Amino acid sequence: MLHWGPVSISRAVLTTWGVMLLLWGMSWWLQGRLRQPDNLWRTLAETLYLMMENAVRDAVPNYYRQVTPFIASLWIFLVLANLLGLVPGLHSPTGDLSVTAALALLVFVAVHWFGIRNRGLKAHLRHYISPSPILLPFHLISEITRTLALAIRLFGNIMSLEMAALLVLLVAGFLVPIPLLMLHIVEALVQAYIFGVLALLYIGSGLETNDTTHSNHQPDGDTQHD
Amino acid sequence: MELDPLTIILEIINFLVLLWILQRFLFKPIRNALARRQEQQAQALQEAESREQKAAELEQRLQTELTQWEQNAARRQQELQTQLQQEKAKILTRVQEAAAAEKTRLESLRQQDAAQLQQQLRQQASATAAQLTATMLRRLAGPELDHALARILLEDLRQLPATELQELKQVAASDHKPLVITVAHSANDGLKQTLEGGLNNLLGPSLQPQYRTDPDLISGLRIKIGSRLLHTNLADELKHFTTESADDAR
Repeated sequence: MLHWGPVSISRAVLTTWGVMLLLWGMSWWLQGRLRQPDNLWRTLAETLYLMMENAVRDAVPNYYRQVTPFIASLWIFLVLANLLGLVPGLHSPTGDLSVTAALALLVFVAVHWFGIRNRGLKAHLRHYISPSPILLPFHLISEITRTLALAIRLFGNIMSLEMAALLVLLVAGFLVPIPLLMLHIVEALVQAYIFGVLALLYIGSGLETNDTTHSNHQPDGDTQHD
Repeated sequence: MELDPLTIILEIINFLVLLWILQRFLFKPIRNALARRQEQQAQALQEAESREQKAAELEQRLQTELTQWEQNAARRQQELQTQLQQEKAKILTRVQEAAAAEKTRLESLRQQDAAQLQQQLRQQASATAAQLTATMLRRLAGPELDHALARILLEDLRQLPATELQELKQVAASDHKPLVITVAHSANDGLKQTLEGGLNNLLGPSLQPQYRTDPDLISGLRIKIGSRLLHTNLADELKHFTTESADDAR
């Protein structure tokens, strides 16, 4: 905790700033490589970006240009944030419920942001009472629960991983938690992927619902990258 | 496990800033790089298509030129073939004409050679016949045969036309040279008497013959009266026979 007068900044926020700084430095460093005709880093960056973009396009073919930066940012941040727990002395920011709740809130807002932006407020809200107004409470409950589930799922997995690794290290001794650390890597990647995919599905469900109710939308209409 | 509103707010702000950073410094450059790559690929593809089209046009043009060239070549070959046939026919005609001329010439030469050979053979045969006849006649020759031939000569003189006999008389009378009688064998009295009697009756009484002997005459005699020569002997007859045979052969 960093105490700055009456304000106390949590360790997760500080770590997040570190992650942001790291990502900004990597992006700045990669910019120079991207201007070169052909090199390994450019190819790697393009390939990873295309993989993410293709995943988004599979879910929201008409809006992938808008949605990709948000989902890709989620994936990149979560991968780094989840893996940060492997560094001795550091803790994953996603092991903090406030961080995952903030991300879940962002997803919640993003779903409505993209829906309203592309369909308009009225059309976006209409899907809560379609096909019948009776379903409105269920829709509202679903919105809340899925956001909560999103936050708690990530928090629970990462926090439990770190705690389990700590317990095994205390009980069994040095080098024994290595398999658990390897599991941490897999779990960190899987949880980042699941969070991003779920966010994408939520955004996509709002957009596709709107698509079925209204056809006068303005899709990206871009050609596919292979 | 506690929810900290400040942390939530800061994390929301952090993520929005991160989203801006990544969008500005990572995603946009990557999209630009991808766009450049796509543009390069499109240009390369367009260039490849252009080259392919040019190659196709070039191939078409070359194919057309090749077809024209083959047609020209076929036409020229046909023309050359025709010219060749014509030239061949001309040369063949010339060769045939030359061969015919050569054949004619050789045939002529062969005929000439054959004629010449035949003539030579005839001449040789005549000469051989004359030689054999002369050999045989030499064995038969003698004063009696000389006498008989003298009588034949006188008989022939008597049968000469009157004009010729008169000319002969004038030659004998005007010429101061003596009348020379060459006999194959030495002339005996009987022969001399027969000759002088006969000649005096025919040519005049003033003739004074001189007798000579020439065995080459084989048998018979030769009478020279001035520039005239009368002869009845086997040698001259054989010679005459041989000459006539040679003339006949020609």
